[in-house]
Amino acid sequence: MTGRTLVICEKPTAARRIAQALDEAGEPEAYRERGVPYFIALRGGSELIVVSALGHLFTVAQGGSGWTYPVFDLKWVPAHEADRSAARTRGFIKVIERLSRGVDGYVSACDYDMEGSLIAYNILLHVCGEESLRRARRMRYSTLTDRDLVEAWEAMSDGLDLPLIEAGRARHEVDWLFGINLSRALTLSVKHATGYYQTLSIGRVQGPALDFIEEREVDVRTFVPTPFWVIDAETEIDGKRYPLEHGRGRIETEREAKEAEAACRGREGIITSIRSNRSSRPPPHPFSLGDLQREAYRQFRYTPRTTLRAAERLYLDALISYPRTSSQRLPPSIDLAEVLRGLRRRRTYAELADRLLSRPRLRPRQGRRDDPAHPAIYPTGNLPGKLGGVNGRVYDLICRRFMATLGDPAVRLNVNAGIDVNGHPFLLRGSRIVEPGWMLFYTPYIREREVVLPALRRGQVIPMARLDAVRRYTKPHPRFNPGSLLKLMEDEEIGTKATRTDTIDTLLKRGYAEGNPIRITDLGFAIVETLSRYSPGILSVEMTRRLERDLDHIQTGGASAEIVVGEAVEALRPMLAEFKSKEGLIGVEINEALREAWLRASALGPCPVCKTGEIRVMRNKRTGKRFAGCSNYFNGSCNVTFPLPQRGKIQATGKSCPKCGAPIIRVIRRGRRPWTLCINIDCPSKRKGGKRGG
Amino acid sequence: MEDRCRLCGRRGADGSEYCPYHQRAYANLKGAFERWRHALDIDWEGFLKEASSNPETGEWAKEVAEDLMQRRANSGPPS
Repeated sequence: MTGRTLVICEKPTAARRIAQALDEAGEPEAYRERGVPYFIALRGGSELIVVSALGHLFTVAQGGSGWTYPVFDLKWVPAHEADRSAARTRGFIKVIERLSRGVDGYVSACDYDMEGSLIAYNILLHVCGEESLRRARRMRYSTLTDRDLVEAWEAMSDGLDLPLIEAGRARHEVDWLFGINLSRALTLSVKHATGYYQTLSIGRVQGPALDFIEEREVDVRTFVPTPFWVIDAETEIDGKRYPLEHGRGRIETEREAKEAEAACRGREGIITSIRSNRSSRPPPHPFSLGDLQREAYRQFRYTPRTTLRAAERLYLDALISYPRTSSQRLPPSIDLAEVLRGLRRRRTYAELADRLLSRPRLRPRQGRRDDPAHPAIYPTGNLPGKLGGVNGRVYDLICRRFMATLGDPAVRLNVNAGIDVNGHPFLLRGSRIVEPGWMLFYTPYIREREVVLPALRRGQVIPMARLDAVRRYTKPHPRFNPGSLLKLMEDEEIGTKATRTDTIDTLLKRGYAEGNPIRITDLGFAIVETLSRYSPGILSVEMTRRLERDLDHIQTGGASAEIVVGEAVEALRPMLAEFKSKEGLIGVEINEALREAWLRASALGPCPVCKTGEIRVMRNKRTGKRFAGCSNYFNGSCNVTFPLPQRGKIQATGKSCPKCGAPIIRVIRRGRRPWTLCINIDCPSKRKGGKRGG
Repeated sequence: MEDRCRLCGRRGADGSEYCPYHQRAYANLKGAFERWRHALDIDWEGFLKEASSNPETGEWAKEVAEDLMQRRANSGPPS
């Protein structure tokens, strides 16, 4: 390659790294124009102009005009034309346009996945001109290390990865078609039925995800527990207590439980058998993105979004491989020993890495899932600078998991002693790790329970130190947390590794769900109820999964984008027609639910003055400021009001102030601790020296 | 005028005084009662009392149990 080549990267940080790696002296010239950084690198006598995008510079927009539905006419436009918040992308387009003049060749060096391929394709098509597509090549890499980048440059493909681009284009168009049509249908149904405008939205993946949350919430709220009994017993040997399990485990009736309790209480046990065995637990497989997000939630309570952000930062710093991967496998092409040699330079990992390096062979435990584009997440072996907080913890988790996958199976010695207590069988279980194997590498993240038993012999008599029949109850399935919802979406094959996190965030941002564990809101209920009654297809997992599979087929060349987008339009057409025919009914129902949701959200508690009204959040029509007032104000029987903080979200706590009886509220502001207070500013609890309400 | 749920005001399930959610809670209560009766030899009223005060009972199931108790449904649930 000679002359001038335009190298298109996905993000400014990646552009800098790629320019540094490709420049033969490792010192590319850095420029900045309109706030857009770009670099000139020299390689093999060629000048490489390394420019960056800012994620997607182009997006899908409506072809014609009018805020209506159905809309099937779409076009790709610069992102800043469709979305005011994307104003910065204008500068990037202008700078790339100027830099592309007179170049001899083009290279797509965006992240190697659907989104990255599409970002570069759109820039080439819309900024550099259609002709550029024929002269463009593709760099494929999984880490931003110098070595991988140079290898990717040397092994560049002759053309663009068209199936991936087509799949990305189709996915964006299908998502746009569903999102715009369904959201407008919902919003306009309320507007046409009531005259009120309230933005409502739902998307192709959001619908089924919201339905999962709703189903779980209904399960929890309608759950009725069933009682059962367990015999809670302990023996004491050499001054130490050990738990005993009754042979029947759960006992279904109180009568049987009491009978067992009466038969065993005050008796001694005789050891009738002792069995021991060794069980082996294989090492874990390396992390896919979903695995990493779930593990980070389990270990640190990080949301999938927080973990993804940290992983992307680590990737851009060339510390880990590309994180948006579904793979749980490390291919033989990765030099595992080289990675370990890199890790051993950190004192924390030196001893562990040495242990692995001393082995004749390194073979990682492989998972089931594979990703044709990228391996599982692994550390590159580059030395990080000072890493703290979220990034540091996520990095440590990835490094230790990587080393654990190379470890031996862990071996546990189990000892089970059968005990007879007046004809009732009990079990005394002991268990300890005898060979830690991979657990040694994953130590802070694995908590194994061990019960070390003393020496036992058959016929030994042991005392019952405690024995009670205890009533317990069955429990409902837990509500979803961000990690478990992500897992379900993954298992149900809806969304992609790149979009699932966004889908969950959107449901929370729209107010359809809230909290952690995730609970559906009244508005969310209203949306699911209405859609399941009038347009159940929108919530259908099957339809979304089918579309996902079709979209995947485009990637492998098994389907064409045009056909898949056409099928999406055909699926939408009857759905929207049905929606339109019932628009009035739907609008009234959603509006009613919105009103109820608003009333519920604005209710703070009973009025401490008239005792019959309800204190609610209200707004001054003239100033727009919020305050709390009694609902009986409207019939003229009570005019009590309280000032409210003007910033933050106000929540009822369901409690009244013990001093004055006014409602106690919680004020939630971003980045601050929730503030709980009595809304009565004259409350005796607020006088100097008084005990504060709440 | 269409029937509304006597507990939450949502649209009623076909032929029921409850909405589909409270109707489901009611069905769960009926199903659970059989298991409770087997486990504790308890009558319907006692079961409702236990269920409504149990921390594991879902809030809609509690609302239905309390509603049934208030209506002195000791001879069994209404249709």
